Amino acid sequence: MIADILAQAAPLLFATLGALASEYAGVLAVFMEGTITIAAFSCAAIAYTSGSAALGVAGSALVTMALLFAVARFTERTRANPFITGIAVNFLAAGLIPRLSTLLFGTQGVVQISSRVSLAGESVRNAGFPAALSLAVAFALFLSQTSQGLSLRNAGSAPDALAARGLEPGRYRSLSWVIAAFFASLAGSELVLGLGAYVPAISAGRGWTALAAVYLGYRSPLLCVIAVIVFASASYLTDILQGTGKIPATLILGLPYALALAAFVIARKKKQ
Amino acid sequence: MNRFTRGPLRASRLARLASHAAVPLASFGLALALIAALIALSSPDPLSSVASFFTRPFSSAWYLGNTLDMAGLLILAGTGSAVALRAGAFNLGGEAQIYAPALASAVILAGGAPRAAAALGLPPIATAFLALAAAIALGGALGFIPGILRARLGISELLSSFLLSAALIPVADYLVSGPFRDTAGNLVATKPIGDALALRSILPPSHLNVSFFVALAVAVAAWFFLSRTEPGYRLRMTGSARDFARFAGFPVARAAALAMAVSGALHGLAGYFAVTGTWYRCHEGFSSGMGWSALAIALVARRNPLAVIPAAIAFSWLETASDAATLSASLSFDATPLIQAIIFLVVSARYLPFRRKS
Amino acid sequence: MNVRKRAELEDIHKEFDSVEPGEGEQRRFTALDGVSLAFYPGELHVILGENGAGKSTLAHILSGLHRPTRGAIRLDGETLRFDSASDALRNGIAMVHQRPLLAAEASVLENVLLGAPGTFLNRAKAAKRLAAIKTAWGIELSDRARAAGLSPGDRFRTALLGALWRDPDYLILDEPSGVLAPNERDVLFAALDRAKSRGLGVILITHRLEEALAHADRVSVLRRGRLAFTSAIRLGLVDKDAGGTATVPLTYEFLARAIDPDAPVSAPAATPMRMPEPIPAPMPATHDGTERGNNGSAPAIALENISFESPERAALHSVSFTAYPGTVTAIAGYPGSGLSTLEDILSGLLRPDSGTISIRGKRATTASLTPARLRSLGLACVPSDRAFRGSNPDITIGEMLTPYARTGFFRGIAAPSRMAKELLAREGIDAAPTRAVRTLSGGQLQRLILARELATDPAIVVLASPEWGLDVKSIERLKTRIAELAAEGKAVIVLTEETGSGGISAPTHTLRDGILS
Repeated sequence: MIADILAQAAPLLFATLGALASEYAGVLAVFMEGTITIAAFSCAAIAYTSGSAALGVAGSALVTMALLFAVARFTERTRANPFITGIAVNFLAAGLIPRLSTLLFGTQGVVQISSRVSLAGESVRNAGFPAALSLAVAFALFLSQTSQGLSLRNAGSAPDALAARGLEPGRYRSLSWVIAAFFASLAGSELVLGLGAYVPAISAGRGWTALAAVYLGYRSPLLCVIAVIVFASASYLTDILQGTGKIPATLILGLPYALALAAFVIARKKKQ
Repeated sequence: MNRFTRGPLRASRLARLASHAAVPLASFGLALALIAALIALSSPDPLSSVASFFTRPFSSAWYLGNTLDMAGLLILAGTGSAVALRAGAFNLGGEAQIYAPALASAVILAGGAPRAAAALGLPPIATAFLALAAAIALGGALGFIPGILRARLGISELLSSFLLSAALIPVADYLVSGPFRDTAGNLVATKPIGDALALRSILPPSHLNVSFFVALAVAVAAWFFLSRTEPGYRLRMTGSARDFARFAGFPVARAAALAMAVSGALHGLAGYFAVTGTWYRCHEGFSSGMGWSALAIALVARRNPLAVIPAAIAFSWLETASDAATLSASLSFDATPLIQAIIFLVVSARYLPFRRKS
Repeated sequence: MNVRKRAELEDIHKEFDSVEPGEGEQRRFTALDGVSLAFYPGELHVILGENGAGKSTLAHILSGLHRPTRGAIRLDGETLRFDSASDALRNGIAMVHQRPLLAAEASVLENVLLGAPGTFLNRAKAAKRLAAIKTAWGIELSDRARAAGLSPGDRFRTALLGALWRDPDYLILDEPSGVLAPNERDVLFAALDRAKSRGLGVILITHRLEEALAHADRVSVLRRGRLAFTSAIRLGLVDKDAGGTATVPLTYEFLARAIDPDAPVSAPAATPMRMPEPIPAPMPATHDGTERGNNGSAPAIALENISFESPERAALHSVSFTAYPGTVTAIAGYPGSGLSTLEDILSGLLRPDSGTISIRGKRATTASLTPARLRSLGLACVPSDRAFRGSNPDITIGEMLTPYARTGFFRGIAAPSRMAKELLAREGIDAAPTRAVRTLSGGQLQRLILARELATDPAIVVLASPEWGLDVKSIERLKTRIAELAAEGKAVIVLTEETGSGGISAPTHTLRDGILS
């Protein structure tokens, strides 16, 4: 059971780390949901055409990071509202992927890739959490032990302090988008390779739960791990309940958003 | 010593006016070009697909009427978004603010209420009013909650309105597909409302009805409120000049919360008319992007309710056009998210300078 | 003495674009008008000047925060270009602001390390090195303390540590005494002395003449963006420029005259310094009426023991004063004195922690001190931030002029337009109410804001930093207006940063470090 919970937690942990990086730079990662979907689809497409899962992961990372870097630079240059441009990313995903899916696979629905890609879903699912955990530790070390990590950590809350020390907050904001994209791509690849298929709306609200986890984890990478495990356990339980027919599936879909909202309200009330 | 010096003249007024209109036109033009390109690329007969893209919405009473009918709904919701924006508040909860009131209206109008009213000797219009009141109140409440969260707790209404909406849509879906589902038909929807309560079409066979004119009146009224009344003036100052408004003693937090409530209420009104005039029932996923379109329209219209009218009509035309084109190209294509993405990206660059909140 | 690096500023000009460019005209404010200075290692060089003289701008240019419009920075004869603070830091120039910007969530140690070169922060090693610096400078501060909870003095010390961490050749300090207690100042100056003998060059920006006389090796005076004079102050100091020695018995009085932008002083001199010539008497104040309440009427407004403390703002300590109708009360505030805090309290935008305000005998509780309430009691305010608080560049002139219009629900366009046109005509400004506020000049905007506030017929008028950004003609007009208002029986309160004698009004009170005298 624990293995199942942890396996479920892995994509969420990746997503949370990405949202955390963005949070440090003072930008709420409203783009996570769409980015995970784009990453998942890219992974599926590249793995399918190349036959290699590794290339799928790498390619998905490249595509996602490039896309978000472009949006980040656009946002910085035009002084746009990052919430709005972030939401635009979600729309891009919703608009482009069905199109591309039809073009590449002839369907807007489920895309099976296990036939062409030689990677057992089981082993990917099991490897997910250890990989995510090690990255969480690495990220935590980066933040606390390096100069760039220190700057990133404060780029959102004290951009003027950074500027006074000769650093450019804008560069760190763009960097945070790219780091978020990197983690999102891992979340997406993990989901797709774990299932052996790309499913529309594969992210299922994880992008939003990640935001809630960031707040519940007090913006620390290691505490976020705990928050993620809590969410994953809750989701595991609701799956069981759903199996017994106690709670309808459609209601579950709304849970990530409700949780994220509750987390924000609680966090704010605590601040007061 | 006078340390101030003067310099050369600036650009003319005409040039500035032109630059104001440039961005909305650019974003629309870009969206048009992209969709046309996508259709052309994926169609076996590009020329006819793209041609039908431009001409289809005007080709028959059915298309024209439905385009205007949908435009009316977008005008209502778009005006709501514009009013919120004028107060400096982002209403991102439009989807649920249309869906939930629509569901409430459909349930009231198709349920036991008409029979109860008849038993009490009240005319059918009483039930209609009840549903209308419920829709507006529910929408207003869904708009007010994020507003009050911002006033009291300082939570960004942009985020809370979105999350509230996203959390409630699955609930509404559940209700439509479960307890309130019309078991008689194949659609996942509520029972259809009776003929007595449906709005009559003025351009058959389309759905165009009186709601279009109500929408026009509401947009004009909103414009009048904003530009010609004292509370409207204060609301505008709250949005455009917050420090000045605070200095002058205007109730800044309250104004934003009320604007959010009005925004929600207008979305609710759109939901009501969508049920009584267009679909006559509430189906699963009812709002289907209307809320987001309303926001995009309000942004393109530069938050002016009068400009929302042509913007909504153009938007609705764009949607009808892409629907028609994809039908003839026998491909399924939901252009709306792409349009929204482009508009958001282009419009946000100029109109919404990011005020960094710590 | 170890002649390491000589720093020079040559013919520095700095112009800023004015906040409110007029339509058809661009306005540029000249902060520095051709200043050339030399700094030497091992010296404490004090830069004196009144507010607005350009001292901070000069320091910002030297430390890389601003780029000069014209002119060059040289180190050891080599011309350098500082594109950012990190360029200056790399070349050995570090600056400490009086109210430094720190990363609130980070610890003292982290703030010190912020922006330092190197990839890996070795916290243990860093803590050791920092401890040595702290001992050498007499600073007691916990490495782990969160920056957000620090007192202003500790914030300054944290920024100082951050600057010292980079092992600079020149340390620029901007008004440090404003946040330090007297004994802390002694500690600082003793430490600066020791550092000087190790070769550190110190540049101290201050308005405190006594500090200059007590500690400076060299003094430069800026007036209105120009260098009034520069000189070595200690006996026997070798002047590298002139190649000789000069002894200058500079006195407090001489420096006071030198700083005052309105008192004529001898021509800007490079060293060696001549004995100062007798200075003619200062210009008389342009109006009287600063007597406090001798005309027997009841006070218009009385502040009693107003106190405010917060880590982010300058504090006020038991500020009390009374203003009587028909008088002008001018409060002159030094940098960091709490003047803006006082302004915000009088505008109703900030609640004091304690104390009372009584207007025309009515005592207003702190809870009810809202802008609307204060205005209804008869207190009008022309804020220092005329661009974004007193008005807004994006709204129209008509919208800016009519926030207090009692039009009822239906505002329409006729009534507000008429009101706006009246105000415009009264001030003699030819502008349509439909034009945007940004098309007005600074002087026009101020006159309109004042006219708007006066239209509510207040008993008390507060003018905050009214002289800022105005040209000479507008300032003259303003002085006349103030006198008129007093003559009409209003109580005028002027909050100003001009501590010189030729300001808008001769100061009746001085605000220094939150204490009114």
